[in-house]
Amino acid sequence: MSERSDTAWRPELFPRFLIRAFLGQNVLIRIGGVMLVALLALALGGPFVIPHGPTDMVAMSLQPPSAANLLGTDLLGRDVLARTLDAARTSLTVAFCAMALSLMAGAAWGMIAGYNVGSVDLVLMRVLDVLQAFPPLLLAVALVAMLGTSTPNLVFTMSILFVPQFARIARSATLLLRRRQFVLAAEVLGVSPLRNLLTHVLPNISTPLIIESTSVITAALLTESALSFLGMGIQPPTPTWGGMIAESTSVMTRAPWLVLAPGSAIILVVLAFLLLGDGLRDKFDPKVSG
Amino acid sequence: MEGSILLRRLMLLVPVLFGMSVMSFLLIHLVPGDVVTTIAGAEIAPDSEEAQNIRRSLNLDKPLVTQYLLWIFGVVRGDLGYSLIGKVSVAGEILSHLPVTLVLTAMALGISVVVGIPAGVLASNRRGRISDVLLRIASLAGMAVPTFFASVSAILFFSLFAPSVRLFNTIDFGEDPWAGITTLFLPACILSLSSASTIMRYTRGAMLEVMREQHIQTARAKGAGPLRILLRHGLRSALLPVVTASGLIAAHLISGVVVVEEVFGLPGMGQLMLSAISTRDYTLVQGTVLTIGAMVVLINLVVDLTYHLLDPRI
Repeated sequence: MSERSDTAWRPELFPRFLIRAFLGQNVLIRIGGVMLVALLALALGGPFVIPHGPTDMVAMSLQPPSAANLLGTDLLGRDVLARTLDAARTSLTVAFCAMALSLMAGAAWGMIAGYNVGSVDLVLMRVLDVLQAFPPLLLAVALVAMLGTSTPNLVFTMSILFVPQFARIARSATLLLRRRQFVLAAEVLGVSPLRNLLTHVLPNISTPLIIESTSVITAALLTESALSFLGMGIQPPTPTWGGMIAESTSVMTRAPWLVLAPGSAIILVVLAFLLLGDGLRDKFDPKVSG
Repeated sequence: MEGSILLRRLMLLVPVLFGMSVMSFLLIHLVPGDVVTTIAGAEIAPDSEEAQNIRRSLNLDKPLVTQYLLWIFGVVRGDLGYSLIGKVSVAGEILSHLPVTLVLTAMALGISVVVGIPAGVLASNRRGRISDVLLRIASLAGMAVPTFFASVSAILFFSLFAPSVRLFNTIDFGEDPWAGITTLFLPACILSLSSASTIMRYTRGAMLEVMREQHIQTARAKGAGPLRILLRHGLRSALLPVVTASGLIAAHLISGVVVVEEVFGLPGMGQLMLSAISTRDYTLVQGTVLTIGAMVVLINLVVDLTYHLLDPRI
């Protein structure tokens, strides 16, 4: 982040850099952005073009790809394309909700830790150490198993998993801002810590947090699909990529499209977010750029 | 290595292990409603003799802190309680499932390091050229492929094109260790996909930064050979961020273990935990979660200490 004079800071809660980035020259952001927009258009526009619903039994079971069913049909004769696109909406919604929740919790956690250097910081960061020491999928499986499998529980569990990533970034950025004059000046003037954090610190730490959210969303997508594959994520009949693969492993040698279609969908969506994240990181954190 | 470093590292582990034990302990209390009805079925009356017995056997009739202390003193003695379903010792179950997971994890970590670090060095050395671009694309692909899909695809591939390969063998390290290792090779490769990619990316980034520094110039001026500069002067300092990230890498790798064991039907900790979950065997779940968590912490400790051995400055 470039050194700005302390009087000239502007709150930038809505990041103009995102718009500039999309119009800019960064190849990775362009490729990732175009992929993402195309995939979103498919996921959102698909139902208006495809005549079948994701749970309609439209043809004989295990039909290979054809003009009527572009990606074939599954064991129950449901259209695989319609299911794959429906799963895209579900997965993206769940991943986005989980990301947004942990972004809010993580930003608050990190800002409180970074603002109160000392014992508060120490305790808050040790809790994160413990959370991060567990393998994420293991923790997710255990929590979902105990709380019960349901979509709200899934979102809640995943949002806990990703709090540490956001909190660490928020904390280190807050630690730097804590020493800047406009934050100190506000404190001396009697601005309450909460107000100071919200009006002076938060706007200035939003960029690294938004960049991190791209990598969190990939992790959320992968976690959700793995959980659904294990039968502990979103429950049938709602189609999910992981669930679609899990229910067709027994017939996949006869009907490989049942596995390959949802699998490719996950890879494409995750890849789009990875590219976008890499591009944003190159642009705003030249230290680690390639 | 000085003893004081070892001691300090061990002291740092105490709060993390304590937190882990508290979290694993509290898991059973997250079960909504009365645990007893979940275990014994809804037809049991909450205050009947049988329900009281179950409660007493799990120490659920005592205050929370007492429950934790009773449990943790057992854990320290190696007693993780008895499984609710099979009525066998949880520690015994874990011990019989641990070898597969340990070998699988060690193999996958080894593959990730052996592939990831040279690939990262190569990519940084050939920055911007075709080999760098290809390696970066490969690493992105490795990170984007979910472990379960890679496993399922591998099985699909082998059953379509090489049906003679036996993928599913029984594993008995006591009887035939080599057969066990060969059976675990494919799962370990799949498991290492994403960690090898992550290691490659970290190595590449760190190498690019290190190679700009002055001590590299000095080495060049001294007339050291390019390979020596790259490995001895460059890679040695570039490994620090890679080692720092190894904790997260190990944790993610073990996440994959759960999936890979399930798909390939390997009798390891991940499979034990999933089957415990499906039978609602909460004490077994608790024990496996704690053991796997402790495993990650120990891997980190070993990596950390190895690093101190390599570089006494830190």
